[in-house]
Amino acid sequence: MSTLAIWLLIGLLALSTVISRSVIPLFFPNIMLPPWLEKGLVYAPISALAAVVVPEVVLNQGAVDLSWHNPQLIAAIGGVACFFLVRHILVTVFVGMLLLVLLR
Amino acid sequence: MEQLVHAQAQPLQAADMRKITRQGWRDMLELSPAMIAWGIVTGMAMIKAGLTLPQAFGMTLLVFAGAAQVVALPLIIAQVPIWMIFAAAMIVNLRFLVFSVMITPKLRALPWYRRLLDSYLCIDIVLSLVTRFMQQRKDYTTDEFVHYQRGVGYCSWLCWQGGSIAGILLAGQIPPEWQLGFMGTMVLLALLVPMLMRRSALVGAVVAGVVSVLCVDWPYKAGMMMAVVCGLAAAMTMDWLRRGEEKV
Repeated sequence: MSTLAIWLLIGLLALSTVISRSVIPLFFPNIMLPPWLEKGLVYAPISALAAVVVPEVVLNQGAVDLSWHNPQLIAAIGGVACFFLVRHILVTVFVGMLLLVLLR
Repeated sequence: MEQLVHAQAQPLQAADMRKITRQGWRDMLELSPAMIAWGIVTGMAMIKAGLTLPQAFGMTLLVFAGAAQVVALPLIIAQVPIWMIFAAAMIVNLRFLVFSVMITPKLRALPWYRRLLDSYLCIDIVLSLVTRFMQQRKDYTTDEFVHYQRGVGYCSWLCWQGGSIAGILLAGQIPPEWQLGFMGTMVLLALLVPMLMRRSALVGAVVAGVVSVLCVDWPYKAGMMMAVVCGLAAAMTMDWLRRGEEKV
């Protein structure tokens, strides 16, 4: 791909970001949502987080692996257990990463 | 007399708002390992895909959408036509459309450049934090919401860009055994778990997770959008089925 094409693409990708995130607040700030939808959208970030996290945890080399042979799964379980004990994100992350590195 | 009260009320309120913005910075800083780790991974991926330094800087500073960038890079290497890469990025970014619908009522009263900037900064992790803010403070005002979101948004932008720039400059020097990507996953997991205390939220997350695994091979991360929509629908259905059961 030529240098010009890459820069054109970077511009288009930036446009894609702006279109997806800002078009509605920018051009349709007065849209009225039905109350059930406004209440229900609270679950959007929860769904998005789960959609990112779950495949990373349960997939081991491309296949679903729910056994103790899956280091990501064990690290996640250990991390979550730790989170319930100490309620601290950094400790959770540290324990999870430690488990992952040890298991590999 | 009235004027005096007014003159006193204004700076007090401004100080309150600054406090809320700082709270946003603090909450985001706690999650910064995720943004920094993913920034580094994405920064390294851009250099490995053959972008020059200025191109990589340009991409991270302008595009500011990790998932879309990661999808675009192999397509650049494969010499896929530009408009097709743009279409792929649109598919990856579709979930932001749902997010922006959610925050639009809060941004309504702001001038256009504020609506543009605040919504541009509203990525997944920002939306998660502002949702937590809304649930924890039942009596928040729109003004407080906007200031909180701004603190979170600025901080997440800085963390992401810091990580990305480090990744661009250190490309090839960070061994893959460090598993930086999984570090981000662990942070999100710690953010997600406390949000699952309500049954509807738990059902939504389980459905979204299962759908995401089933659709993981869909091109351009389209399965992610599918998972968000299914999770939303499941949680909302659950709320509807349990309507009237508890009014808390």
